[in-house]
Amino acid sequence: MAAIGAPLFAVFLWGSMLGVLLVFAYECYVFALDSGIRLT
Amino acid sequence: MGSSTRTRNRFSVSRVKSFLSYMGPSWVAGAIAAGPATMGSLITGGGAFDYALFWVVVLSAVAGAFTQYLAMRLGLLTERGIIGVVENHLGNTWAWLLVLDVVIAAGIAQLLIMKTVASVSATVTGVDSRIWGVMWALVLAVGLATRGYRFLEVIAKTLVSGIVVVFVASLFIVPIDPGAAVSGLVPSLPSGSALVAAGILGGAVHITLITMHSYTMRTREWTADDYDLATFDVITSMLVAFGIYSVAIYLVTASVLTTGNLSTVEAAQALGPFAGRFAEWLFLLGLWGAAVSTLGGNTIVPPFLLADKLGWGTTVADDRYRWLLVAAALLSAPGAFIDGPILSQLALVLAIGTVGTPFAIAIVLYLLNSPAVPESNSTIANLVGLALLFVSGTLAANFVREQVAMGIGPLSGAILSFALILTVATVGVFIKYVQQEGMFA
Repeated sequence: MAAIGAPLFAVFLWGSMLGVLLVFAYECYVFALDSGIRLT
Repeated sequence: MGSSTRTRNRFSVSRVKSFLSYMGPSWVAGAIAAGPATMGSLITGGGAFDYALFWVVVLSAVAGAFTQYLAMRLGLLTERGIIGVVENHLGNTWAWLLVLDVVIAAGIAQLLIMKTVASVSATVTGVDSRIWGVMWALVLAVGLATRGYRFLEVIAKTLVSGIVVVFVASLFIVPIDPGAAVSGLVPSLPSGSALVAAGILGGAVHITLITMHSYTMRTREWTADDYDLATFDVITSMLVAFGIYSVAIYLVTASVLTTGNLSTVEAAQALGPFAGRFAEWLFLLGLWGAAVSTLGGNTIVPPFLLADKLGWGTTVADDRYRWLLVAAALLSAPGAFIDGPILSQLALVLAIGTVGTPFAIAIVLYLLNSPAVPESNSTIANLVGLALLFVSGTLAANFVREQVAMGIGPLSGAILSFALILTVATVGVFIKYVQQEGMFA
């Protein structure tokens, strides 16, 4: 099995996916603020 | 204060409920993404490489949702179709290049999707698949020109939902190896897997899906005011629904099947543990449903872009657009005359689409950082966008390298030329961006 770029690529890949989730989480946060939903 | 918050919350809950009833454009993209080519790629990948490509499956749902999100932002912030925006802010040549890219990627996919519909219809009825191809092209042409195809799509989507439920249920019956599945999250490309990996990613991150989004949102008359609704639409359809679809199909086939070179009858064995002797029928109906709903969605995309480029309307209210739809539908009939095994050919079609996709992502990123939109992309969205551009480019490059390594023939030569032209174009977009920003001045 040929690993592509080994651990560095894995970190890059999963870091990018985490980034996607962060962007979506931020959008949800803004949506919650706009809608008047308060978490506390 | 407390009651005011509750009132606001009640308002929000009803808002979420109304979201559910209004969702749409990204579900159209999701229906195309969850088509027979994605199903074929997932089954081929799971059968041939066990859990090793699980990382690509998870990546495809996350990356697919994110690229749709970027396309959504561009569509809402400009409130125009993507081709018109490209023409205004990048120029005529770039607009034509994007139209051509879509026509080639979606056109090749259209032929193979028609082949799938025709051959499954032939398997079920015993009538020659070529006759079915011509009949389906006529049904598609008349149905799309009159909106009658929507009825057929409802049936098709019900069937696809049914097969997804069966795959999800199978997850609890077949012996999934959790350790092997987790180790499949470490990125690696086993020898010979580049095509199917590019196919799996190509099912979700595809130029057709990216470019169609602005037009399907225009059809719904969504504007920047619908930003929240549109984001919700993208996350639920591509990340959640498509994610469950892909992960379930992949894990079940990785667990049950032992080879990737499958006929549809062999692939149906993946459902054997759950469906028993009905497995083959269920699988064929699911494949048929996926192909019928994708056929309708895929047919409308090249006419959207071409009509926009020619300054025509992009609804059937404009007769010229209506005739473009009819032509696109009829031109898919030759697909039924193509020989060879369907599932691996479907993966090849998506992999070719993956070659065309980085250019579309580059264009969207460029426009989201240009005066075309009132507010620029956030830094994190840009970084993630560039990362996904790099990952999809890497998978596409691996696929092209694998094709060329087998020798340059008519097919691999055409794929190489397509890749070279679009690589030059993508680099060109970056140069234009640097020139515009004067970054190195």
